[in-house]
Amino acid sequence: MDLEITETESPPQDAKVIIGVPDSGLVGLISASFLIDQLEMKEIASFDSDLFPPVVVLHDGVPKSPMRAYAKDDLMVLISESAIKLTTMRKVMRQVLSWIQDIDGSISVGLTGAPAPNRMDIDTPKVYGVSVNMNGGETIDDLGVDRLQEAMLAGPYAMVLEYARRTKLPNLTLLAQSHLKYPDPGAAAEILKVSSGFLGKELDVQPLMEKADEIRLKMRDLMRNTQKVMKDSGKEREYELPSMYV
Amino acid sequence: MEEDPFDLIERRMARLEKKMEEMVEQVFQPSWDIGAESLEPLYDVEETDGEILVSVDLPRVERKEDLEVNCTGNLVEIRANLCHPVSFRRWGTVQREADFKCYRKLIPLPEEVDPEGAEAKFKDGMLTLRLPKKTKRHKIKVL
Repeated sequence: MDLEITETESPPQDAKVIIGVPDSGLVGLISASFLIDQLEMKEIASFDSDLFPPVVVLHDGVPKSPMRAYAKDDLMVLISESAIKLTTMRKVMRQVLSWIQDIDGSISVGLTGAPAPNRMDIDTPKVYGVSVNMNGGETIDDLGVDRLQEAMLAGPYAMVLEYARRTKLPNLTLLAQSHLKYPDPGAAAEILKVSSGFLGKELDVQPLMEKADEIRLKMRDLMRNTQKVMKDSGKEREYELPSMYV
Repeated sequence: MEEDPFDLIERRMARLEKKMEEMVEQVFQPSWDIGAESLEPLYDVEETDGEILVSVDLPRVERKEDLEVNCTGNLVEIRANLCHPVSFRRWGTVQREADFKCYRKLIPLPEEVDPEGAEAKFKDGMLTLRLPKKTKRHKIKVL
């Protein structure tokens, strides 16, 4: 039941590892795919497991695992083109993060959406941050985003934070206000703008915005599958008010 | 008059069966129709005490004039034309070129609504509908 990782090239040392898996508004996957394309990153590893559905994706006629890692310089991006099922989510995310530790990744970076019920009325989504094991979380302040103070998170990125909390792996998770059930390239663009400085890469998000409608259109099926997983994982709890302060 | 509990169970069972059928359909049906050159949009239905809220994601639909929304008691029909057709080339197991020019979707509602009181809003390719439920609510005075 373990994750089988095939490295076709050695992962970079001390890499910042971006995690882009299907979740709210597919924000993480859209952001990560954009980075791979714009920075012309190279595929260096694929992930296979009995924990995954029996799926293979074809790109340019080449069969690939839906979960793969790409790299360039000191940056790595991990994507999944298939929604990670609830029953295996905890195990998959733990093993992915354990691998990031094994290859001496310097930090795991989660990019995702923070579902906003009034997203339709928000022109520029706000980005929030959560950090773990980051020397007091200076990075969030450096990025100029607000720290997510009181919230309940569910899904794969909650598992990332949970793993980081229990181990010494530094993690920065950025969440942009987004649609929950619809692909949200606008939210992805805002996250990328914020990440640009932290990643030390010049990112022009204009091409992403120009393709926004096409992305929304072509990601409908993945979003539909992700909706089912989100429903099972209690994603609607992210709308809940915090219950600690009375 | 008090409702017969068996009627209530029967109604709930019927609703559950309908929901199951919809889920099975969603799993096995493709989200496109090559013959009709149409795509199925993503949509969501939420229920509050007095309203049913429907949202539909319609990227590449730019003008409200390209949008047609019809509502009967418990069904909403969405028809919308894309500003530019979307082309898929050699995709999936279809392996052919296909152009899609519109969206089509019949959305079943969990309860009967009053179409006369419906409100619609369209912004950035996102349609939202507020549909008042037909069942009237009566305020009960608390003594």
